[in-house]
Amino acid sequence: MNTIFDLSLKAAAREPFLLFWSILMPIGGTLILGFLVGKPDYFIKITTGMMAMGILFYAFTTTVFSLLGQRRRGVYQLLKVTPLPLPRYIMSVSGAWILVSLICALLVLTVGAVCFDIALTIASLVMIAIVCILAAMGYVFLSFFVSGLCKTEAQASIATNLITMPLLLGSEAFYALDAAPGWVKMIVLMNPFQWLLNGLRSGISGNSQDWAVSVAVLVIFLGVALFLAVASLKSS
Amino acid sequence: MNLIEGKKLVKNFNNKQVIQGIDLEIKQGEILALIGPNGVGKSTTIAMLLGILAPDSGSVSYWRDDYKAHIGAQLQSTPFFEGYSAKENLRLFGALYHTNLSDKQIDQKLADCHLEDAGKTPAVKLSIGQQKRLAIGVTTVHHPELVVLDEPTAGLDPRSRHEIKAMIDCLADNNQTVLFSSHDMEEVEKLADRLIFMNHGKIVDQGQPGALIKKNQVKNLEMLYLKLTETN
Repeated sequence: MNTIFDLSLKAAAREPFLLFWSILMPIGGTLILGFLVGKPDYFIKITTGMMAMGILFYAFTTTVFSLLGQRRRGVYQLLKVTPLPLPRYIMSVSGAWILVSLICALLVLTVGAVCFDIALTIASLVMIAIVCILAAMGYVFLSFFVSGLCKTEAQASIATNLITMPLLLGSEAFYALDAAPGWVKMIVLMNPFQWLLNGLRSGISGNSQDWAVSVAVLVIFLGVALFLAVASLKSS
Repeated sequence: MNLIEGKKLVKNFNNKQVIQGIDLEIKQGEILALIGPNGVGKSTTIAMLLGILAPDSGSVSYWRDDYKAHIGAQLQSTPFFEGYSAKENLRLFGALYHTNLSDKQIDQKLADCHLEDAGKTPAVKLSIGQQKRLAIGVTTVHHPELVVLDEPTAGLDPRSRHEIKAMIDCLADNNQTVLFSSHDMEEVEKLADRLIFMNHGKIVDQGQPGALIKKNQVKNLEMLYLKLTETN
């Protein structure tokens, strides 16, 4: 199991999508937008927004394509003839992807904290890490479900865009939605990506009550995503 | 002793019976060839014997409960893991069979597959012949008692076919049981102890090569193949 985890980690680190979408783009976006806007309250907003975006792009979008590739090449068929139980394989691979997501998010946070002087305590780092792990787990499990719906890379591209774009645009990742109509605010309330942002921001500010609410919502999201992933794997 | 026994196996696809109630067994120590034209159900039969596909009726029994740990299977296209080198694929397949390979063992395995210089090359970028050899390598990382190879030499040039045949011979020398599917009679003649001919989802004849040639009153295996796949 450790071998599968290690090799998955190595393969993930070589993934060019990871480098661009989950490391370079979030770090570049944090720095450019942060310095452009130049307001202290925006520094935390843009840093957490880019962290969350990096997690979403890696733990969901990149893994959808990886999983689709594995399905199409018959990896899951092959696993049926090996003694390794499918859940153990999935746990190992998912574990590596979740760790990569966490590392990407922490890289963006480090750059944001250094460049914009964001104060972080050990407690807030732990709170942020928990939120990142829960969200990454949820997105990875969701990617198992979505990859099961797609037969080609073109379909995967459409599906991932159809999911990530509303999640990103219907959130306060990069702009405030205080002035938005009531129905938009309702959608934002049901957006798991927004709860990832809320969790990150309350983690940085050390607001444990808000953080606990975000964690609870992310756990529910994780449960739903796990259910969908298991259903998808069983049906295939 | 029979390692695997399939009884009255039936498989339907899209309301068409592609496997029509076949019985077959794989005996310990033999090299068994499953022969027939494309589309007669060889791969479906193999998939049912391996448990990849459930038969619509009939049953498959194995010589031991933990049989999966003692079978190595190469499907028609071995799903090498994308982004992984040949070495890493060997290590990963080892892990799938609960076998941790040392660097020395991996190097030896690469040498057995004549891939000493390709260890760091991504497996999906190897030539077809190299991929087929690596496929046998990853299939046998755990020294299985039974090796199942679905058309191991399909689409290969004569040199690559020769290398694959040598690898299968080597498995037999190690007392490993081999089931392989093929429609190359030269390969079958050189390798197999027993033949099963399939046509239209049925077994049309089976036995030792010499006995089958005599029984069917033909000159050689090629004529036997033509006769058995023509008359059904």
